[in-house]
Amino acid sequence: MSRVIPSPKQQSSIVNQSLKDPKNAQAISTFRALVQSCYGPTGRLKMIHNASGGHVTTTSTSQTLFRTMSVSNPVVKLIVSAVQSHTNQFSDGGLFAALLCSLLVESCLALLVPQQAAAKINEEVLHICLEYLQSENCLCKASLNVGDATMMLALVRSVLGSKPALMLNLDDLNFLSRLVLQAFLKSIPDTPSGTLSLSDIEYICVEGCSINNSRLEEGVLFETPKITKQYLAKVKPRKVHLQGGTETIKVALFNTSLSGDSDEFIDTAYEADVSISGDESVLRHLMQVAAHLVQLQVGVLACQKVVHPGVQKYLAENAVLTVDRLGSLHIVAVQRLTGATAIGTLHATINEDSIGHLQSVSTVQIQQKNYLHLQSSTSAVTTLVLCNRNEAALQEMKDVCITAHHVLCQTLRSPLVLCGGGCTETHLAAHLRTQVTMKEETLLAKLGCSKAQLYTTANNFARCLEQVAIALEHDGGCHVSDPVNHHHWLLPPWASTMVPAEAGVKTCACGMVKSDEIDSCSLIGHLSNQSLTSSVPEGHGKHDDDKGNCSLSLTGYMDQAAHNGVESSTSNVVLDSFPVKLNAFVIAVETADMILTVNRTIFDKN
Amino acid sequence: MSCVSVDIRTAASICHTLCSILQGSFGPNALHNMISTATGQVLITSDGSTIIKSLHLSHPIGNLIMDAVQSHHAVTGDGTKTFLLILREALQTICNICEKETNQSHIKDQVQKGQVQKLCIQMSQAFSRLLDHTFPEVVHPTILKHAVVTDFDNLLQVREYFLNIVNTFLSGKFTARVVEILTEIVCSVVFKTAADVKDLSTAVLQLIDDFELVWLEVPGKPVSSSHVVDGIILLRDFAVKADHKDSINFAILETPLEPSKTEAPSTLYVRNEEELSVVHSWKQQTVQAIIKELASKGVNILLTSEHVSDMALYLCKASNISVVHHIPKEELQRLRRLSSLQPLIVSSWDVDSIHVGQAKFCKQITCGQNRYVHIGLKEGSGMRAVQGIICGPNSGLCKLFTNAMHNALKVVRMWLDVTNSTCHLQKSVDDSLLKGSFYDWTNCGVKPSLLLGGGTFEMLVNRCLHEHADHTRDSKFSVACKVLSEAVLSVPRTLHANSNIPKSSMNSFPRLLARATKMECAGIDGYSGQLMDSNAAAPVYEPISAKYLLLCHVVQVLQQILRIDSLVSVGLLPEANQSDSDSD
Repeated sequence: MSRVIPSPKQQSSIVNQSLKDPKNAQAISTFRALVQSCYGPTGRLKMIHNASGGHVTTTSTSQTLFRTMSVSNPVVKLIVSAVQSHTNQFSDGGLFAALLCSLLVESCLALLVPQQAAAKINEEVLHICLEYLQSENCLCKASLNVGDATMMLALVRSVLGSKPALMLNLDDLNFLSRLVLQAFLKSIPDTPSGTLSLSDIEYICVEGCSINNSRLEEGVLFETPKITKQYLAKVKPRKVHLQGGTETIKVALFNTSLSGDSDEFIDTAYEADVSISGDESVLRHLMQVAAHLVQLQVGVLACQKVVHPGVQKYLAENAVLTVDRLGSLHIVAVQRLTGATAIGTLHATINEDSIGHLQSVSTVQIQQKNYLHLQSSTSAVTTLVLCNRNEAALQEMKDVCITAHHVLCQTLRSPLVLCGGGCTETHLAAHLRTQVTMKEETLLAKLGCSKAQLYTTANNFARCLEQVAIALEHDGGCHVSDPVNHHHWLLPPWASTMVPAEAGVKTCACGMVKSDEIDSCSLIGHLSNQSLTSSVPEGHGKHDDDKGNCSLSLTGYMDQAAHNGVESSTSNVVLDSFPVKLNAFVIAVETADMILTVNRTIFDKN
Repeated sequence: MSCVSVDIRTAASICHTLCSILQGSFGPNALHNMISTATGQVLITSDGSTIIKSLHLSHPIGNLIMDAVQSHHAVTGDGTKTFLLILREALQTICNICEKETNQSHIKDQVQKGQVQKLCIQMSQAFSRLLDHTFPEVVHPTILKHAVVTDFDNLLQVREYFLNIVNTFLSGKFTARVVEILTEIVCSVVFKTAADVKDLSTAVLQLIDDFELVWLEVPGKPVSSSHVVDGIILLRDFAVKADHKDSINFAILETPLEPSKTEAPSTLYVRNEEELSVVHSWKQQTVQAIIKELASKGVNILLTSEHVSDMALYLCKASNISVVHHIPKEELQRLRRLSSLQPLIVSSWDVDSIHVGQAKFCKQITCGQNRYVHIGLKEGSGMRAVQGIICGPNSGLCKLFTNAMHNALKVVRMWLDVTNSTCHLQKSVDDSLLKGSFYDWTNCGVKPSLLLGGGTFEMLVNRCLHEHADHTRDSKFSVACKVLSEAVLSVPRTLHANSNIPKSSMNSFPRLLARATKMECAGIDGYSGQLMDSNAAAPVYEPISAKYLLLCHVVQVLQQILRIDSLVSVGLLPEANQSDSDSD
């Protein structure tokens, strides 16, 4: 036998690589550029190809991107793992978190403020922002009425619309959003008992037809090459008449194997006479179970594992359809659909309680593939059939629909939304600047840093937020913000000195503020140097006195929209989910702060 | 086999290397290090023990020092950097003394080496005398004079000191906000576990033993979502969930529910069809009987560490029993201990009240992405069950936080658990005390006491040893005292260097030291670099026994190192015959 010789542990290399080292700076800046280019509805797609061959992935979502990429720099690895932990829980907002985090780290390192002090100031600033976002008076936050279809649709549209890999035009986007919302609404059970638990939607991906062929099917669909239309016509599962005149098909669900190899039967060695055969005995027992099922007037036998062909034949002769090899994926769906309890034993008598009910069983052919369609009138299980001509887009579509569904579930739990389109970021940046000026003394006393350090770091934080808003657009447009509401406006490249109304832009990026309500605006982000001490913003256009203008709030806007009931004016508002964005924001800033406190790197080579 | 001679200089240079890495991470104003671990995790920490573990030194003396540091850390949970700083300074001073002595005489190298070795042995003996006599007789009483004794009847004061100690320990390891959150959580967990103030010490000991089970890590959420819940969270979800309207009774099973195969190779002989069918249905009937027995005794929840088959799950569901299976054995043991239950034994099947526990609630709880089972136990006379939920950006950092809290508990143990931590002072502690209970400290002269932090202990030791050195006649002993007294000053000096104080001659360390000697008892504030005494705005406290133990350990290691004069390495002999075959 070969002897295992443990190799001695290699000495770790202590690299006195400070965070400001060019290698680190380059890695962070490359990562930031990558994430920035994917962000937003007009983001650029990335194709990821492993050098040793394999599947080529085309995507712009953070989940797929970080899963397929491998990172070697420890700082970037930390950011990626933090963002992945966030998306594991919330599904959306990964790119936002990654972008904000890398912007913060990159910009704070370039400041002249010492790293430790910058981290401390950032923590305080985070505290100020969170206080505002979680307060009742937050102007960019609103409570969403989950019964208002228009607003929920706007939320879904924002999620789906920000993924450019789907390649949806406006009509397709509206169509798909409506479909996802319908699926979500259908998946909510009618009569919740105790705590409401939302279940997943089933998805079927069909390649080769256009997106408009996507549809919602009630019940469960799964591929069954054996059960064709002709077979179903031959077998014809038995229907049972219940009290009240309705017809139903009884379903028995087994999660143990019905092919004779279940470990319920004997599993020791035994000797027997020639006349006694173990296999025959087992088969006889299975036939007894089958006969019992027929006696109970069961119409469909669904089994997670394999059913013995002899049993299948017997059942088919007695008008019982056998559906086997369901697997662990589909068995849960069938269980929820039929309400049956999965029977795990072949010896106990089958209660009536364990039997489930179905309304109908039929076959469907989609793109030359046979699917079995089970429908129930009482259950909330739905299947979303997604179609797309392009395989990569189809895969992305499935992932994005799952994300959108998850966001909707979270909205049900905490129905709060924020303004989308970068407006929350610009609004928060402006609020932050005013708050820091107002609370200057308390902050200086608490932090123990100098005034210049405080203002530089806080200004930098605000600028990073604005840069995240700017990153939504990739074609060289101008970004301005109005001094009253501090929302984000997107102007065409040639309109850098005009007000939005002159440039033909009707609303702000989220759609809440109309351009005729504002008179002046100023450039934001790296193009301007908005100083905190100046009270008059440098801007252009007509300067009106601010006395009469009070800021609009999202809550006010939504109430007004609901009151007016006009669909067209509110159909283009962009909303972001509050819990997702909040968690992403906090994770990004906390991770950036932790990175900024690092002095030295140690590489353990073992 | 090869033999390499080493002397004190080797050890000094190794210590110097280690300290140069750790120096900047000392004190509350610490700089952090990023460690890229072997498993691909990235950690950010300033904890000395974590950093030391990630370096893999190849020199044997380095390993000796690291082992000593690690074993000290395992007991007290803290003190790695302090240990190395004092050790480095002491070794450097001894090196300088050796050089001075040998440079004075003009003799050959060989004789020089012999002189150095003789000096080292003498120093080693002097240190051993220091450890055995001076420390218990002179140093310890001096320290105790300045100690702050805790009044355990005043709950508010106890809590305040608790928070202070934990905050002192954690500050500098993480950002200020994280430190605040973790301190609050540790305090909450300990005070919830102990039913009474007197039980604090036992609660802390139990939490240290159970530490892997007390903290549940949830990566992906911000640190501020960390909180503490009553009861226990089991790291599994329900396999079968039934509704329980009335009382919730649970039973613990540590053996498989189903009858297992016989171990002896046996063969059954089946005579006819009826017997065969009986054999087929035997398993199911046995399990059915067991479940019926459980249901009749009112058991609604079965908790087991083994696998429960689908058949048994179905039968349990039919009898309205919820099942949680594949629970890790340690969690079940903890649950058993806290609820004082015996596990069920399948063969005997007497289900008594000793086997069935009552729970206040048993429900599903979602932490992060996973769903777990949360059980609340009825309050008994013993320790209460408490679970801490720690959130962090990723799993590596969550692990760092839980380790930090584990070490914080060890530091608190050094404060509360006086009898064990001062057992080395056997001369000054009465024998009867060691047999007595933990909290019967009204009888002994040693109470849970704290000292001002920020290098106060070191400065007091420095003063005390300096005075003692002047009173003694033995020159080598006097030199040893002076070496140690200078070495301990490296702690406040490093604190001063790492602080935010502007570096000028007015604020230099020697000046501060001179001012401190005029005061009763003063330390250095880690942030501002100025002197701080007990009247300061925010004093920091540390347990005395931990610092004392550290000093004793440093002197022990010094003794060992001073006596080493060569390294012998034994290599593997090459294999004589390669005829070991791998084929069967």
